[in-house]
Amino acid sequence: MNNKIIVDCTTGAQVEEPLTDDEVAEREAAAANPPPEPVDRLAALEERVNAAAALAEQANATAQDVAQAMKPTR
Amino acid sequence: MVREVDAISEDITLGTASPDPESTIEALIKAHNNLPRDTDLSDGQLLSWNASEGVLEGVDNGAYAVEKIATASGTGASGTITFASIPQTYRHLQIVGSARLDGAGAASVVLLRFNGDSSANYDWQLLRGNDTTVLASAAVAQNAGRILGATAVTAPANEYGNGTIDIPDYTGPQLKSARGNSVYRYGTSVGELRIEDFGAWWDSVAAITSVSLVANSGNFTSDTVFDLYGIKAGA
Repeated sequence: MNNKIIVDCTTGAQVEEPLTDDEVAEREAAAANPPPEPVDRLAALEERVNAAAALAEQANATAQDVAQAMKPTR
Repeated sequence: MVREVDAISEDITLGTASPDPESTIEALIKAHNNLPRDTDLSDGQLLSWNASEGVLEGVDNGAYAVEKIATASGTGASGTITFASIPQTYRHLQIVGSARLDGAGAASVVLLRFNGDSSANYDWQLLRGNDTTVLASAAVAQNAGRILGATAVTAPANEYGNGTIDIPDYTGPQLKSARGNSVYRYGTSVGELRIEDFGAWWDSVAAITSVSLVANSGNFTSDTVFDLYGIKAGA
């Protein structure tokens, strides 16, 4: 990726020429720090809800265990 | 054709035309305007019958009109395509294109810059749909805006990102923006056909004299093509 295409809109002519050193450096910097990728927010939310439900289920089970343990024995 | 029209126009002027000259002239005008542009007319003009003067004349086409400005084709060796020296005589610009990149992955994106500005002056927003999934993404203060979806090296053969970029009022006094709508397919499974709607914002009021399309990774393949059109606003 060391070239660039330029189309002169007054003549319609297309030329291809090498990138300048600054342009190469800029491309390399952009490649090293790419824009954020799109995030599927709905899937992420579903994952968090499912995790919360699992925690609630676990907490409920723990509460039942505690209640059972606290029952008076005869 | 113009010669015939001119001859009939002369007959009309001399009063030697057929009994129904108006309908004859109207038919000839319609036929002429469907022909390729004639050198007797200026750019954008249509042939019209001036009843009060009794002559045929070229008149400005007051209707919405689209004219092609230039075409750019990928070569497989360049990741940047720039339309330079854009005429400042239209109201809006439109780019229609089909793009594939040779960078990694099956799907990628084309970036946009105006007037060669690669500073952090761009914001972009994406809205994407594929199968039943809708997602959004955005970024601000970027060195380019995102503008079109494209396929990349591992996408099946003949799969391209096809889309349109609209750049409204590119010479006006306001902060400039572009809107890109694209569709691409990078496989045949459900969910591998995407539509993407991009908005790119440029923090500048400068008139746009050049538009650069930049591959996010790799180069534009040799079958990539972009056409730049100028849109006249009409009367």
